[in-house]
Amino acid sequence: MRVGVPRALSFYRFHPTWAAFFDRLGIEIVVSPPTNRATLEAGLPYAVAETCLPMKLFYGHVRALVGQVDQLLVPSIRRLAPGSSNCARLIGLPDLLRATMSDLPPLIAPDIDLSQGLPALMTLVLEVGAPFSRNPLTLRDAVLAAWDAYRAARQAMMEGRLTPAGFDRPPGELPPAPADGLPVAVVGHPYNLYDPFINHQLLARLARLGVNALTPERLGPQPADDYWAFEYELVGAARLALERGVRGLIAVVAFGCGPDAILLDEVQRLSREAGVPLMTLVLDEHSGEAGLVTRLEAFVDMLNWRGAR
Amino acid sequence: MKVAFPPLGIISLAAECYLGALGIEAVVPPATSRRTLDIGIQGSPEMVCIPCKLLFGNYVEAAERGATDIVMLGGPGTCRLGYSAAQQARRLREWGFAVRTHTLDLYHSHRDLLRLTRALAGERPVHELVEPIRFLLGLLSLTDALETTVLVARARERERGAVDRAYAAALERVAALRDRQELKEQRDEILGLVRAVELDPDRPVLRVGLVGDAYTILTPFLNHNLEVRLGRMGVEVYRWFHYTGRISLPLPDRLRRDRGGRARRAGERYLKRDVGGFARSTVGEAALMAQGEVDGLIHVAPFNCTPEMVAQSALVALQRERGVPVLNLSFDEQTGAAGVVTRLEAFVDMLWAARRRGR
Repeated sequence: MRVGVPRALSFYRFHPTWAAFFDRLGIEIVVSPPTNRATLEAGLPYAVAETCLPMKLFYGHVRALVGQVDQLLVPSIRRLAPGSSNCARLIGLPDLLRATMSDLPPLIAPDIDLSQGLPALMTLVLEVGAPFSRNPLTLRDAVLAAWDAYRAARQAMMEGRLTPAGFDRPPGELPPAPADGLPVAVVGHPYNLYDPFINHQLLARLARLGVNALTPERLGPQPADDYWAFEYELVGAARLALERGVRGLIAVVAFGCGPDAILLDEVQRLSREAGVPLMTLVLDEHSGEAGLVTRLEAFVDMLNWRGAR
Repeated sequence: MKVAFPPLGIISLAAECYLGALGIEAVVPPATSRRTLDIGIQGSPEMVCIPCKLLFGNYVEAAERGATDIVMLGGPGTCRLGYSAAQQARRLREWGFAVRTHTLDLYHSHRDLLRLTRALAGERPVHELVEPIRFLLGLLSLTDALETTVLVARARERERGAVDRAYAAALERVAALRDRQELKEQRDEILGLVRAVELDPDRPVLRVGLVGDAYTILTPFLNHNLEVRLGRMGVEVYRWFHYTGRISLPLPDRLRRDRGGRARRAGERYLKRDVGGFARSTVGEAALMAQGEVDGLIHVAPFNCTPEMVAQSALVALQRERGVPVLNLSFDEQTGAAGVVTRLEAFVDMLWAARRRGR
């Protein structure tokens, strides 16, 4: 039994959790290969033209797995806290796939709604695990392993030992962040920050420019009481970073992102009130590398000048 | 205290009567226009959808006319509207408008109306509030009946513009209503104004279902007067959104026998989850209409409306399975009328061709 995981969207948040869960159940996980031009081209025919680039890449990653795996993991993330909300595309992800592709393997598509409390979560786990194991004790072990893996990954990321890009690689392969570099917060959803294809290797470029990029998962624990499920990754992280005295802010958003269109306004307000320069990078499939490089260099130069004065 | 509702279809008209019954002065903001848009663009984040921008413009124009209290349409429903209401309230204060803001949750309006009425009317016994609410519901039922008639009648009018003239006269009569008694007495007469327009029963017409985002449907400025244009092309328009449909009893879907409930069940095959906005209603109504009610479907959305983009994908599956033609139109501040007209004409031509082939 092979379960496919598209290297997109919630891969960059929850992969260690799923990996540990399925590993304990003795199931092989297949992650789609890193994004490249072909991924995008494979996804485009299935995507609505106006949708965001991360969604288009998601379709591409699914295409890479179709025919290679027995089942496909596509969770629908509804809510992380009572009264909160999530992007319509992330909630409707399994429905979107079923509507657009007719040759899909069976989907493992749990509805994740953490506002319903522990009993609902346990029901969910039993539902997801039922086809793989009839033994509730095995499932319990798998859940505990998943929880441990989640916390271990969080801890490792806060200490800078791990980034979401390295979720499916053995630890220790990553270059250390330049700790004494220019502290700049780079905020955004992990699928925008850690997919080098989507952002033209933003983090590697920043490291070469001598920037210590403080990304959301390095900054602190993620509160769950925001309105948008992943609001923290922009607004919360920007707030924490400003408290730590970063010298600049870079916000990375996908063109056409519903929640980010509004969250960006909050980030702008925070940066204005703190008097810290902000650069906004909007990603779509037409953004060229040269423009990005020029803007990045100019922004970092400007921050250095400000520091020297 | 002067209260304003945004000019979204007939709600601001009905709201004026309802506020009058509560003894509250109403401010009717001007219809959404180019100026509304310009204000909205100035006061909104760049990437936000156009309904959010237009609504902000509506609020400012209401405040300029002396509104002290503004009713925002929103509520937590996964759509940006739910969240942007709070941001817009703050921006209104930053712009120096000392207004109180209230929200009417469009997703749960059956529950929310009483809460809103309480907030507007202050300390009053509940029975005094119930009467104005019943009046409002009666008004909406009347205006919905008027609209339904007009949307179909335009296709057959003998004299161009006759239906719209009768409609305007009927709305004037609605605006003059004071209470539920008057509404009861005059309801048939007002409906009669529109139903009396001379129609051509022999003219061949097309039937098109209009689905998609409610804000886009209700704002002629944004959709380039889509409904009137279609009517004058000889197309009967069946629009999914009517206010009364939003105010149903809070029953579980399985038990609902009304159209909303049937739509929910019909759409499940294409979109199982509630992704917010009006996506599930869009897909459900489209699935119902595709069962032989219409010749084709027009799906409208603001550019990059997140829930409606999900709906659009689901409609692809519907189109594939049921063979019903779907035209997707998305609107933003750059949309020109000419492009819309060309596409509508082509779509209508294609539907006629399909009918001649005896699809």
